[in-house]
Amino acid sequence: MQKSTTNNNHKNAFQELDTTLKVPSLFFLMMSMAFFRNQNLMLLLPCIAVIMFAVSGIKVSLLVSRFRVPMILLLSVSIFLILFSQGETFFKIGPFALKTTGILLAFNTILRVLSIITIGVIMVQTTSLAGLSGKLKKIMIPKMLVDMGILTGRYIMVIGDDFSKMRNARKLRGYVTGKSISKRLQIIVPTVATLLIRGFQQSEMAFNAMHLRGYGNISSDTNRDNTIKKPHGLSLIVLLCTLVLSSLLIVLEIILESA
Amino acid sequence: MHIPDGMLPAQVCIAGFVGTGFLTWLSIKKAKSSSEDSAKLISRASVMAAAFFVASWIHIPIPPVSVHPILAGLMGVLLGWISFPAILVGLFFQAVMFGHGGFTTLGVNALSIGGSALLAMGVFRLLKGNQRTVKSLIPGFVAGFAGVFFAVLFTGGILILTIPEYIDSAVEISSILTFAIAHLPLALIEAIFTAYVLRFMFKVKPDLLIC
Repeated sequence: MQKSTTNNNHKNAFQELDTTLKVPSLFFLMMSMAFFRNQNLMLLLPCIAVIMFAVSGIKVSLLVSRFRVPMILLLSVSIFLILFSQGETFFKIGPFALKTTGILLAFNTILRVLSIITIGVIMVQTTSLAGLSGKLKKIMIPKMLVDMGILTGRYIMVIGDDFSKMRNARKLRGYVTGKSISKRLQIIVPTVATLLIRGFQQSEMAFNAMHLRGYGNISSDTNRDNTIKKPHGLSLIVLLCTLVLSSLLIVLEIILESA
Repeated sequence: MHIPDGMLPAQVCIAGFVGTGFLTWLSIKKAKSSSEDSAKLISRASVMAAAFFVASWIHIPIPPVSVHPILAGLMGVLLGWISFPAILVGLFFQAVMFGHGGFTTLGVNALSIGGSALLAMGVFRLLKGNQRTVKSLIPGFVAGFAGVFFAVLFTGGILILTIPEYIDSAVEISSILTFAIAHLPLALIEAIFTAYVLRFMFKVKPDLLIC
């Protein structure tokens, strides 16, 4: 857990929960939210998300920053829905007719997307990536995939740093990046290619060194953390609420759909 | 190119996870059965997954927007079958670190980009024939183009066919076409990028192809 992203230093209910219980239960909630399509009760989703976010103690600025990336696609889809849905026209602006059904659909899509992203942010910000790798092996995720994840996590920063350094070095040597695409490609192509070749050579040595230091050794992996911490107090309530709400959303959707 | 959380119905997300699970299993099985050392495979795939992640920091302006390379074609060519799990890992980190893509849509996004990488690998091998190394720019160009184009078609198709329930089918088809055409400049840039990167790499280190 990145402590700087929360409002307080002591562990909250989500951080207290064991990763093996928290990640599947929050993921189940996200999937139930994706399953829930009833337009009249869509406001339920942001209500659940807001309450859980308040309990998590994560900073609002961090959540807002996470909304920025999907917002472009979300707005494009919303405009598409508003303009191209069938049904009666709500308002006309020049050649464009805004449809009532489309506005409702777009509004509900925005609510659902933002609610699910909020739960995703809670899941990520209250979970340690380092602790997650050991747990993933337990839930039958292939070892090769987990190893790849660990090594990728290490290499993201290395490659990012190397890329910036090489770009700066090229600039200092007089290779100025122009605004045109061809000028940019002339700089980016050799930088990326060199970086990849060097990365391939270094990573193989790093991976072998990790193994020599005992990584992947069965006994050291099993000694690490094999037990699931039982939730208690507020974290137990949070876990139960998450599971009940997820099931409730699915049952509600099935009943309302068949009614 | 990445579909965020909440855009797709749960049924589609689950189908995406099933498909991704199958392709991951198949890719790992194919990679293990190859003559390559698993340490070499994992380390190369990890570097490419990290590069896939870092590529989203590179902005290429195509007015009025700015795009970033996806590297699906390049990964397909350099990693072969193992490119699919590498893309899955890269997508996971993108979702975790800056909310690019999503968790419920991870399976669908992996199928879209990872599947395109596998198709790009197929196209490249078809054009390359039996040569051990490639001097021409054409196979890399076509693979780079295919990597973006298939991903755009898949993502656009999934988005437009699953989200709107009250939309005319003619509008749906023309929207998919518009979505694909709008991404043509990106596909062309990535095709040129992939072709030149591959030529550079094969010149410096000709034994790069694995699996």
